[in-house]
Amino acid sequence: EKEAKPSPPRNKYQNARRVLNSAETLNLPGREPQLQELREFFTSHLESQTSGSLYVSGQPGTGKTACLSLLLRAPEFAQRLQRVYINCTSIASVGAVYKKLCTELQLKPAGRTERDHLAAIQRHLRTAKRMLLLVLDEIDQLCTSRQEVLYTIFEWPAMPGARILLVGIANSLDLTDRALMRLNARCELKPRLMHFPPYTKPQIVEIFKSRLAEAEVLDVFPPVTLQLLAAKVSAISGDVRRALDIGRRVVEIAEQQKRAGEKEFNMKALELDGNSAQVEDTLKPVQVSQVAAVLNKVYGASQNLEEDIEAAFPLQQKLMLCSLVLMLRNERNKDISMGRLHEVYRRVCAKRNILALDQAEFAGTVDLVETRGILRIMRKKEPRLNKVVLQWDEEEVHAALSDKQLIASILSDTACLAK
Amino acid sequence: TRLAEGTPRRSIQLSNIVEQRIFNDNEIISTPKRSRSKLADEVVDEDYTPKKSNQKTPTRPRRSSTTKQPSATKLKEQAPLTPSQKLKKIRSGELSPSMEQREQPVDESRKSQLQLAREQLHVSVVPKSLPCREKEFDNIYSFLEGKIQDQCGGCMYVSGVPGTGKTATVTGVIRTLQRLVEKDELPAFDFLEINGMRLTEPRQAYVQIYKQLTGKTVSWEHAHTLLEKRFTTPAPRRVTTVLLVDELDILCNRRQDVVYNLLDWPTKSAARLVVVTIANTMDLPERLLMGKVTSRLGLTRLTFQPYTHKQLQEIVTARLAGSEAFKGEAVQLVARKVAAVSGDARRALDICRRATEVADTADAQPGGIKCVTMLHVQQALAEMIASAKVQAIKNCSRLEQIFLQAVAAEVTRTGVEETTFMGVYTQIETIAAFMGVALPAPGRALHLCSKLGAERLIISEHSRHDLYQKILLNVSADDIHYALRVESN
Repeated sequence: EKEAKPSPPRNKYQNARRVLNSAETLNLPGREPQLQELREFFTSHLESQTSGSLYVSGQPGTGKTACLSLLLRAPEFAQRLQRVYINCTSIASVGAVYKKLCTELQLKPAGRTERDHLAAIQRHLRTAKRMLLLVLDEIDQLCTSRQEVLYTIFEWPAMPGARILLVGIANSLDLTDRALMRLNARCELKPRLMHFPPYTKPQIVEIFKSRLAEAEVLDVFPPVTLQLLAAKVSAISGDVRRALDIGRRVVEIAEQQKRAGEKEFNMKALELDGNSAQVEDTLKPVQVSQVAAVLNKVYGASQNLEEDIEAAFPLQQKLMLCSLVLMLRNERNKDISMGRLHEVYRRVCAKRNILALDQAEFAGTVDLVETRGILRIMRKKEPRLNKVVLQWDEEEVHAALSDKQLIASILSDTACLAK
Repeated sequence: TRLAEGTPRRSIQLSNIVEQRIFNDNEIISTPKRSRSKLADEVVDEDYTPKKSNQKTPTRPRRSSTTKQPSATKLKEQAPLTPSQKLKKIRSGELSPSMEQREQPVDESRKSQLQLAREQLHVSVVPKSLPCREKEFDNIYSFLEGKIQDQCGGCMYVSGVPGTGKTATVTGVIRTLQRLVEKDELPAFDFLEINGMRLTEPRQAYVQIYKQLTGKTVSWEHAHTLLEKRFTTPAPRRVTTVLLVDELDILCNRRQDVVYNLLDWPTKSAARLVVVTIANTMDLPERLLMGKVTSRLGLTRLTFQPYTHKQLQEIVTARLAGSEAFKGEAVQLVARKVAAVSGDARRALDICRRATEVADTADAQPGGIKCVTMLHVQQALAEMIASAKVQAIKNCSRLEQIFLQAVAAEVTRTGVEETTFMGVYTQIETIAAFMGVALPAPGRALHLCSKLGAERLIISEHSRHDLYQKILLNVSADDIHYALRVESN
């Protein structure tokens, strides 16, 4: 009964926001050499009809899965290869990967045990008509203490009569050296390595341009803003998901500001001449200041929470942090237990004529500060013996508390430390 | 074991008897399992052996498959169910769980002003619009509205200390959006909700999500495959799904596969899934999650700051809404005390409720109207932000007090927090000699020690280490002196 309504007209911001989503795409600018290398690997093995294994590594968000799923869909391999993609995080246990592979290959194992499934796969590999391309994503999930499964899988290319192309994807560069050392003993078993480097600044700019051009909203982002954004992201992580996220945040904020402006405009128009207020669709491109604001917010992380915190940092938490800083500054022993911190805190409170919390409440207060990431609590058997470790710099704490008078007066009060 | 054997057998027998009474044998509906049990019954009826029934007890709960039973509609008309049929109905979602009803709720008009205020102040009464959270509301609203209009997926991470209105705000946003959908101003969307604390195991999340989508309960492996299929294969009439994940940190196990999957599905273009995750810790993604999970979680984050005393005051007065039950300064005192410690709105509301209870039991004021004043609030605060330790020390026996004094004295003497029983006992000897009381024997003193340890006034080891066991003070030395000095005066 529900009909597809014609969607309301969308402005360019909304189009840009939609096109900057971090879902998978079809064209991958900035990954041409890697795609070419993968293609060559596949075709050379296809032509010689030999098995091979490949290990692809790279930071999160560098386009590993995107490249391989593009190739898995490529028509040039569709005829000659049987393609299977398995994400190793979606299997029930490490041993269950065989069962999953059996279902993907539509095999009929003799029994229901893991070994039966393995036997079925090995029989299939020996007698298969087509070559198999097996892509295992997030392969580090298969690591166990004895690495039985990983070794079994990576030894399939060496099985007599098998024609399998095996691709493993993971984050760490040296997984095969760390976890699969024994494969190095035989040259033919050694997987070929391929690393996806983090995206550089021009590559990120290129990605943004191609995405924006897709929806014809290139004019929303002036080149300067793109340069700034790309430079910042590539300097820190080179993760394209982050870059797209930031781009989307920028658009969202620009849209919100525009909407707020529109409201004002409407109000004015209403006051001026009745109701015939015509809103023309003039969209300003995003500005450098907006991008910079988003970048600061994202990459300032904990440090620039000050403006928020200032208003709402509870007093007892401030006193607790100040006591901790006082103890760290004046004692050589950095091993501070909850009990000792509480003693000092009580004295600090007594000096300031503030009703101190008792130990149970105090432990809760320390927990709440821990959720801000300022502290770390090493749990012990007794709450009194918990160790409190400061995770921030003293300067950061000062900045976050933004209560110079209180801190200064407490830090000068070394008498509270002594018994 | 006898009990375990007994129960299933009895129920099976009973149900058989009931069925034989009500139906003729041929009328009993024969699902594959039932027919087998009927056969077994025919053999067994003469001399029943418990062993057979034992085999019949299901060791694992059987899950319903998604294929529909052909006799499902027919079953509905038959009133008596065998336990397995009932379970099957529950798992397929045909029976909705109901609770017993009370006869009559109390009449509204007979409630006093204080009672009404107490009901309004209950934490479970979520107001229609949350005061002091307008900015956060707008933020989440524009995120979700944009995602629903764009028809694409995404994630958001909401954090903040407990009691700052995170879940209430998010569900409020969802309710507003659902109202817009009803008015046809927004494309329709599904809303699913899971809470990490309500799951026995992280993977049960799949079961819950699938249950909310279809109403059926299946095993987690099955649910996971079905969800994977749903979210990875494109379907033309797919509507956006909003998934709210509360208590995200509970879902993180070592492999983090559940969190990974929940955050990986939105990146699939077919899924149209929007995930909103809630947790307490501000830096959870960096602290606990793997790099690839953090990368998928994205940077759309929002932090709820603790309430300030002004905001807490506004929240409480908004709840009371013109009622005269509270004095203004009483609310202010609660707000200030709570804001100084945690900024937790639940805490403030609880203390206010306690204050109404205190005022209820107190004598009526000369005016005749019962009203919560500063004194009542003071008493409630003393109860709820209470330090009972001084009281506990005061109520200790004489020898226990001497023991505590001795531990404190030994700590001062050695300068180390950890004392041994031997040193403490020497101190007891001294103090006892000084006070002129009889000295308890070491065995007796050990008994005192373990009693104090059970009360958590001290932390002590097991008493088999007798003289060498270590003793730690769990109260501050000042508390001991304070309690004993005030008493002696």
